[in-house]
Amino acid sequence: MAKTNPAFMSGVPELVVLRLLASKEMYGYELVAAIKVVSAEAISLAEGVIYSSLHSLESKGMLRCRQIQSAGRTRYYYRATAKGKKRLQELLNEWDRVSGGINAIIGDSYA
Amino acid sequence: MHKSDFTLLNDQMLSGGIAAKHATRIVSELQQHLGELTENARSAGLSEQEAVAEARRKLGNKETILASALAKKELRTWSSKYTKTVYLLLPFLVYIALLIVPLYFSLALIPTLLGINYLTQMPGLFELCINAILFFQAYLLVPLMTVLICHLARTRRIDLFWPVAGIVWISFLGSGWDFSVRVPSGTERGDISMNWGYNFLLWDPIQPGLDATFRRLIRMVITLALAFTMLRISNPSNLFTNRFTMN
Repeated sequence: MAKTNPAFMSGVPELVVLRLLASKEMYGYELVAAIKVVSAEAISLAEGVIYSSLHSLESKGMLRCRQIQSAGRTRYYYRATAKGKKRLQELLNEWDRVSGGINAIIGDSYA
Repeated sequence: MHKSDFTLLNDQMLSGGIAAKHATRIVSELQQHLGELTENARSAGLSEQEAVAEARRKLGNKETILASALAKKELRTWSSKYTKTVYLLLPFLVYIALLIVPLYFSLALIPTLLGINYLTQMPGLFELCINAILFFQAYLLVPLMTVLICHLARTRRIDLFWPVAGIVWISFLGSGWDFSVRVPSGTERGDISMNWGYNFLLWDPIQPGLDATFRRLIRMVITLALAFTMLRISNPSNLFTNRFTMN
């Protein structure tokens, strides 16, 4: 079973959600499955917490949601808006900066 | 997460100030999610009991999901973010507006447009309208506003402290009004008067008797009784005890 990291995963990072929803419209269950597959199960979470993150990003205008009836089920599909994609770019830049710094430190320590 | 947990989660999200549109949809999405997890576990060869248990484990417990929702301030309603403003200041402003605007229209704007000077002439319909507006303001406005506050408190399932404070405040403010309309006669000018106040003296040398004060206090008691009856009906088991503490 994959280990969870409660402190890191108490909320699903918006970077992960925006990155996946910028490329494809998905509903919650599908998104959780995509997180597992793309991260090779490195990111594991209590799946139910994804919805508060999705609603939060929708409230901020970064995601758009639409309701689709499918096989007797109501599914809510999300995709990133232009504002969400702009925010994603900012987060990616920040991630590059921080991970670059950490890599440099780790590299020095273990050299 | 059991089935009963979804209802409880919905109530706890509302109590924590999450907007009803988010709470309802999150619960609906969680139920769908649990259904799909169960189906997949079944397809993977687990027994019905094992599939349900596995699905519940993957979805996470109610407390974790609730905490993640409550941590998102943007999902909360205005009334939970600005409780004092919504339940104390807003009713006061609405009350003042509903006092001033109808009176402005009936005593200033419409008479001017129709060329009526109500001090010297007051057509029957006009007199009826003025009396209806003043009656509404003196006797009906506060009960209606308490009904609105009770409705908000019930639908949001919020801590009742501030709604009750708002009801007491608006009842005190609104029950202190009194009004009189004197129709102009051939020799005397008409008169419309409104006054506000409470007299707690047992004997008033200027205005002897307790009629006006009694009338106002009784009105306040009736308004408060109406409000508390409504709160009791809508929230019978946990009046004043449904406080939900957010960390």
